[in-house]
Formats: sequence, C-alpha cells, structure tokens
Amino acid sequence: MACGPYDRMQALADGSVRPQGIDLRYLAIQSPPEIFARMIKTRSFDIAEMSSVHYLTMRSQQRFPFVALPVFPSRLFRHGYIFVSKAAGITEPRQLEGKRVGIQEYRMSAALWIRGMLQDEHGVDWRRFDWYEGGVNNPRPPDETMDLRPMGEVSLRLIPSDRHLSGLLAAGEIDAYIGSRKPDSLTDSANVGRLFPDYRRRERDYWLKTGIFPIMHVLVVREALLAEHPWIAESLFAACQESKRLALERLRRTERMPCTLPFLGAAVAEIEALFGGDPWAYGIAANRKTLDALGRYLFEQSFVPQPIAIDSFFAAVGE
Amino acid sequence: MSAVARLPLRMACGFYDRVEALASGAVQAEGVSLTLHPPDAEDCEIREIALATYLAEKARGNAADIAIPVFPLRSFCHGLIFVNGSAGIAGAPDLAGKRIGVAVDRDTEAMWICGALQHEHGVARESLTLVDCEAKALASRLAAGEIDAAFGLRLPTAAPIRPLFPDHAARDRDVFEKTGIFPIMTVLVMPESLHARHPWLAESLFKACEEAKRWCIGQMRFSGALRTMLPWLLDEIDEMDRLFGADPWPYAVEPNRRTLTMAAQLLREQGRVSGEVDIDRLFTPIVAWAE
Repeated sequence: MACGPYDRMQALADGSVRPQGIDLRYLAIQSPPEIFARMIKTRSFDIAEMSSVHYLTMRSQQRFPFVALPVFPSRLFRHGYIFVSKAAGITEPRQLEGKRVGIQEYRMSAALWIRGMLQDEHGVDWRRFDWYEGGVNNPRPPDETMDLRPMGEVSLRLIPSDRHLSGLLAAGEIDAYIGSRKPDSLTDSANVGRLFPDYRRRERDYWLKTGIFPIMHVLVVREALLAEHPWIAESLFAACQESKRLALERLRRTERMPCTLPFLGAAVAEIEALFGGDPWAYGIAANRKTLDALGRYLFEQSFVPQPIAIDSFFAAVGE
Repeated sequence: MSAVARLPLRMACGFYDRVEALASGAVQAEGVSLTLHPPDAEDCEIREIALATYLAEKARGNAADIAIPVFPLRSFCHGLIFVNGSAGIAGAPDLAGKRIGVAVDRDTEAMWICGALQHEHGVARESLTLVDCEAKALASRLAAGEIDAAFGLRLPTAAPIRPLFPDHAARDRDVFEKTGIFPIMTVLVMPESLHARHPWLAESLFKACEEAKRWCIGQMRFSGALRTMLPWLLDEIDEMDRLFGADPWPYAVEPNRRTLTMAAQLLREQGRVSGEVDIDRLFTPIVAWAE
C-alpha cells in the first residue's frame, strides 16, 4: 500500500491496526504525484492513494484496473489557492474570465474543484479562461501519460520550458494561477496576492452552505486482487475507519498537545463544532453532496463524455 | 558506526508528533540506538518528567537526574481553565474560594495556571482552593458539581462544563506577545551518572530531538495534502509563523530563558522552593548548537 504520511493512516503504517486477513506493507510516500505516476506507469502498488479525477476519468475509459474504496486520504478546501497578479486588477471572481490563468496540471483534482466552485458559487465561466500549464515554482516538462486532457474545447497552452508559473505571475505575464501549491512569489513579490484574502472564512461558509468538503484523493485497490478476494474491500475499509478513529482520538487529547500547534485546542474545538465529530468522513452516504458535485464537475468539465453514476465507481462496503 | 557500537537507550515520553521521527527511526541520535516507550514505562534511562517536579527536586539538592533542555510538552494556560456553568463563575476573580480540581500528576500545569491567574488577572494563589483529583475523574466530578472548576481538561467541552475564557486563544496570544512566555510543562531528564559516563550523550540526544521536531514541522507544512485532519492546518501554521517566527517550540535554555525564569519565580511564589534557582546549572550544556 502506498499512501501519504497521514495521521489518519498512521495506525496502518505502524501496524497497530491490521486489516483482517491482510499482511499490509505501508509505504509512506509524501508526494501524491509520485504515487499517481507509479500507479499509472508501472502499476506499482496493490493499494494506493490516487487522484480522484485521474481515477474516475481513466476508470470510465476502462484503462485503469483498480477499484476505489470510499476512503479519502486527502481533502482540502481550495478557496485559498487562487492567486492573482495585482497588475491585472482582479478583485472579483468573474474578472478572471478572458484572463491568462496559470495551472499546475489542468486535470488535477484541486483545479477541477476550484473551477466547479467558481462556477457554482460565483457564476464564473471558466471556459472563458486562457489556461497556461506548467510547473509552479520550478519548470516542469510535460508528461503525455499523466497529463489527461478534457474532451471538450479548452484554450490550453504550455508555458516555456524554462519558466515557472510563480515567476510568470510575479512578472504579470499571466494574470492568475490556481493549483495545490503556493507560488513562492506570494511571499517574494509584492505583485502577487490571493483572490480571496479572507479565504478561511469563505471556506467555512462554503462548507456550512453546501456540505461539500472537496475530496482530492481516493484509495484504490487492484481489481484482480479484489476479484480473487472480494472480502478485502470490507477488511481494508474497516481498518481505514479504525485507524482514522484512533487518530481522531489522539488529536482530541488537546491537553497533551499531540500536535505541534500552540493553539491546537482552539483548532480542534472549531473542527468539532463545524463537522460534528468526524471532519474526515469515509463512506458514500456521509459524502453524498461532495461526491455528487465531483461527478457532475467531471461531466461539466468534459473529463467524461456523459453523466456518471459515481457510486458505481466504488467497491461496496458496509458503511 | 556499526549497530553494535551504538549505546542502547530507552526513552519514556508521550507520543507527540515532534518525537515521532525518533520512534520511526527517520531521525537517529548519533551513537545511540533509541527506543521510545510510553511515559509510565519502567527502566527507561531517558524520561519525560514534569518541569515543576524537576526544578523543585533540584532546588532541594537531589542530584540523581540532570535535564537535557528539550521540552516535549508545553501549553498556554487560558484554554486550560474549565468551570461548571452553574457554579457562578463568570470571570477569573470568581474562582476565589471555589473548589478547583487539579489532576494529581499535573502540578506543573497548576503552577502555570495559578501564575497566570495571579500575574494576568490579579487572583492571588492563596485565594484559590485546589482539590487533588484523579485525572480521569476530573471531568465527571466537575459535571456533577462536586468541584466548581478544574484545570487541564480537553477542548471542546460539553455542558455543563465550559472553558472559563471562551476567547482563550486570543488571550494566550496577547500574553505571549507581551511576555514571550510559552509555558513549559515537561522536560527530558537522564541520570547524572549516565551523563558523567557519556559526556557526548546529552548533546547527541538534544540534536536528535531538535531534528525530529524540525522534521515534524516540515512535514506539516506540505501543502499537497494535509498531514493532520485539521482542514485549516496550513492556516494554523501561517498564524503560528506570524506569532513565533522560525521556531514555535524552541529547545535549549537561551530561547526559553524568560519562560524558565518565570517557572522558577512561580515555584518560589507558590512556596514550592526557597531561595534562588540557577537555571543555567539545571541543564546539560549544549555547545555546538547556535541559533
């Protein structure tokens, strides 16, 4: 199993929770793109964290022999990951239309969610963006295998191979940038800021209003393994739940400061109030609104040719 | 160095993220083969103990242990004071004369909280009635009204228990900006005899603890996916950086001098020690580390 070094998976990584009937070897790999590339190019792992967009798109094309469990190793609100060049004078989301917008990878889950959120919450037509794809803080060569393209028309160009988006943004050569990494120019350049400086409040309001906590990654299992041993889906799901439960229990011992954050108590109290006990729900039913939005965005953004029944992309487990 | 030549040591310490790299082996202390054990494990040469206990023991002349200036547990105070909503406690002065439950093994926490009540809120230590309780019974006794207040429960709470200061984080921030004090609850100690036999050891352990902490904070900063199930983890870190600068959780004496000096002052004020406490003589010297 390859997955990030996450608190919710810690008990699986250190063996204190063992999925029934499975001798699990957990590789804690921090870079999600590395895991995705090793899954797509060499099918390296039996169980792995996988980009939700990549999984659903490739699975819908029947070119990815893995099946997801409703376990979501990575989720993030991304209102804070829309950056603007101050020279472009963008203060309202709709002013992004017609602008040059940098993107780490057009197909990345963070980008799908940001486009969807801008559309649903702010009436932005992201089809009218001119997209510029490339590395964020370092130049990145294109990768034909990994760079999934949507089926519809989209104005998408690669940036020069010796440039990065952070530098282009600082220089005003693009007007905005969205992705999952902060550009270095946010701190290094006075010309770069966030579209939503009050993103934290907005993300909180978005959750309260929509019930959506964007799912970035799913956990997938090799299809052949699942066909031979159908019980492993249930076993893994239960183990992931138990591992997460232990991590939440540990996080809640705020008086013992398990986490090196001086204001941990206040942070945990906020999460408990907002998410009612489980800020990181697994299972289909508990993520209905989020999963429905994810499926709809895949279709609207032309990663799949017709609406999908998103539930059918997950192995059935007792929730 | 071969594994054989490494000094095998056991360390009893809480399972904090900042020591995780020592437990997993991602960070190794030079010359040491270290295993981590729960805080109450026996036969551990390196132990996490309460700061107040250590300072008081040293002041009494107990020379069995020496501390390495590593502080695994620290916590601000305003979020650690809890009251029963029907006990008639609306502010700090109302604590006077009330029964306040304190966990028996958490005297350092009580020392800091009483200190904050005295120095920040003018509530004299003598006016507080502290009642020793089993840690596990604190919340239930407070909810049942057997005590009116308690120190050191966890957040959030459920009625009838509530924090005395709902705005505790803002208050803690203000006090830190004013005083530079981030209360230290525990410290690592080892036997003086071990320190005498291996004069290189303390610094080796110090460096490993420092590196493990940096590793942990570095891991938390990764924005590609959240390490911890706090949806706003990255913002918490931004806020932490703004308030604390490079290191929110400093080890070594110098960056903690104001905090340690205040701890010694509180022990005197609260009658735990008499006379001066010389901070510099209570910790193994750290010479190679300069920041």
